[in-house]
Amino acid sequence: MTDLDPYAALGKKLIVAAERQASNGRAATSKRGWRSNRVNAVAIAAVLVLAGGAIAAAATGVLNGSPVKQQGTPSPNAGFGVPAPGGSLLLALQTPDPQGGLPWGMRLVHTTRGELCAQIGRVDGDQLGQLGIDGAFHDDGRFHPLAPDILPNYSDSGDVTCNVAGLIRFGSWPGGDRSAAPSPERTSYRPAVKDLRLISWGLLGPHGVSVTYSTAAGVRTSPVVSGTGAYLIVSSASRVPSSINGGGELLGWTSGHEVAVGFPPPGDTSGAVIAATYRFGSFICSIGHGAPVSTSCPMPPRTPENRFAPTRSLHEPVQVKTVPPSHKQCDEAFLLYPCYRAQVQFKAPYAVTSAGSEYSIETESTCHNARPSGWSVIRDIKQGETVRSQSSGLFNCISTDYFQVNYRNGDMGAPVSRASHESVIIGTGVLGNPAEVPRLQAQAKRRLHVVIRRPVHR
Amino acid sequence: MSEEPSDEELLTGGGVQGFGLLYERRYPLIRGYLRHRVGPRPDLVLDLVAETFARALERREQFDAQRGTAIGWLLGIAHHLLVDAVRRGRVVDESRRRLGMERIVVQDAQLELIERDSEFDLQRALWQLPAEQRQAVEERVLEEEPYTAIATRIGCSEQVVRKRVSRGLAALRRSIKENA
Repeated sequence: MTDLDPYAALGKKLIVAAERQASNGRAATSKRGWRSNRVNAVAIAAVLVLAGGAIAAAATGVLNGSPVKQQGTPSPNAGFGVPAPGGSLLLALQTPDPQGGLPWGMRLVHTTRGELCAQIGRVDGDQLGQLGIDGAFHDDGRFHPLAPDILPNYSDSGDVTCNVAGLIRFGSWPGGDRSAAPSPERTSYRPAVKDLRLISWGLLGPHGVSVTYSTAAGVRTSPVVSGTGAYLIVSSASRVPSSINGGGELLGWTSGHEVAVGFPPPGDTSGAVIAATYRFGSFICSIGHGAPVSTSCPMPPRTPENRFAPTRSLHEPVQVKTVPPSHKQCDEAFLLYPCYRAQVQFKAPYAVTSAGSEYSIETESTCHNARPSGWSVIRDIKQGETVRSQSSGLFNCISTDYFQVNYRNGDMGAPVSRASHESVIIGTGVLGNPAEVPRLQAQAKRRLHVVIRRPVHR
Repeated sequence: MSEEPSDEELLTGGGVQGFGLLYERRYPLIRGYLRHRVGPRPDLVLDLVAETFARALERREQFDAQRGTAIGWLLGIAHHLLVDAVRRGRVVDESRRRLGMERIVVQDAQLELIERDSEFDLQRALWQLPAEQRQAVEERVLEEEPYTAIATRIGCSEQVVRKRVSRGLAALRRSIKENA
């Protein structure tokens, strides 16, 4: 590095910043660290008062804020769909917060596309909501109710997770904010570890009896809600998760007396739950390690991989062409102009009537930089409909790009499926040199061995 | 002779000087990763590298060596900042602002110089790795696949994948030193 090198200058600035940080006696600066110390102290005091106010609201319910707004324009026939009429249920299940205040609760929301969304939040009376603390809602200290008829337009942010109804689910939201608000809008701010929560939740299904989980005081077992098998455990986080993303969930299903789920091995720290107990008639069994009942629930035979990742092809025609976005769009994607989107066109042999199945496009490319990436067509589709879909991502290299259209059944191998057909390759299309296709096909095949909704535990 | 401290030791216990050493050791890889994704936009790459290390400095107490390597953590921050930048159309500077770091004003001559210096090509270095290590590093570090998914896909244990990633990153580090 030379003096002319800005990276040398950056190194020096980082050292100065680290020294300043060390002299302040802490490694992690507060979110308002750029203000003067005087202003900072006032701001922190204000936040503490507001946080106290929010906790007080637990008792009085006086400090109600504006309702949480719907994001985007959800469609009943695309994405998760919208909440089905009468499909939202705030469970009676309530869990105290380690620092007191409003308890935590869970709402189950059935959508118009067959998804079941689990929404986690703080509960005030009969309302689920989020608190205006820790940077959420401008720290207004109020309770912001989540109306039963809205859902955010994204998933896996921790506070709401949607998946095909009928599956059993073990979710975790490590490092969730105590406000219960999702973090995407505030990626720059992480509060102190003591203010973060490890939230474990799940739906064991109608055969679920109890969950066994780790706490600072040792291992405990609690009954789950009858019927849904719902549970919700909230504890202080012991560390900030290394991933900036929200939580994840393990998915599976039950049938007869079998439980099909890839439970985390002993020592996994991504969630608090270490075991679950089931009752099938008079037969009681458990999965995981440490449950009061040591009899293991039988696992069904391994689901054939082609249930998720198709191997058979219908060899239907697939047309691919490039669509040039504007100069501005290329620039915003940090790509040199011209850049491209891919538009794929095919005739759908099967209908998609719920989120339980979808058409997806897998891509492979000889480009080493800014290559096209795969995407899914997440909406209802009629049988025989001509589908035209453009890649969401842009790319600026066209050498040989291979596009494989799949119909994917997302039932996780469960015996009862609402999808109309098993997963299958519809056909393939190519941009560029067809001689490269066999090699790209081999690459695509390797990638396709990832299930459509793989567990997100990392 | 004492052994060179690891990235993890520099990050968590190295204090001010340790962080400085970590920056000197690792900024070429982060720059290479970002350049690979962004293309020849040295001003943008510098902006992202600066915010990546500012964020790492700000949050280094949150790093947990049991959950991954320091370089993986840094690459994760860089990746998320890049995605965020694409979404917003600009690179955020919140960590730098909180740390009181002024933005570096870069002259045209400096841009040319750092672009020449950035010619180290991450892709080329990756292709010098044994195939199984390259695949493991690409899928775990660059594409952020879970270890379990990679292991399932290539038909080996998660432990084997972890070893391949670790060895691949070590080889990349050597490669960067040789090219520095």
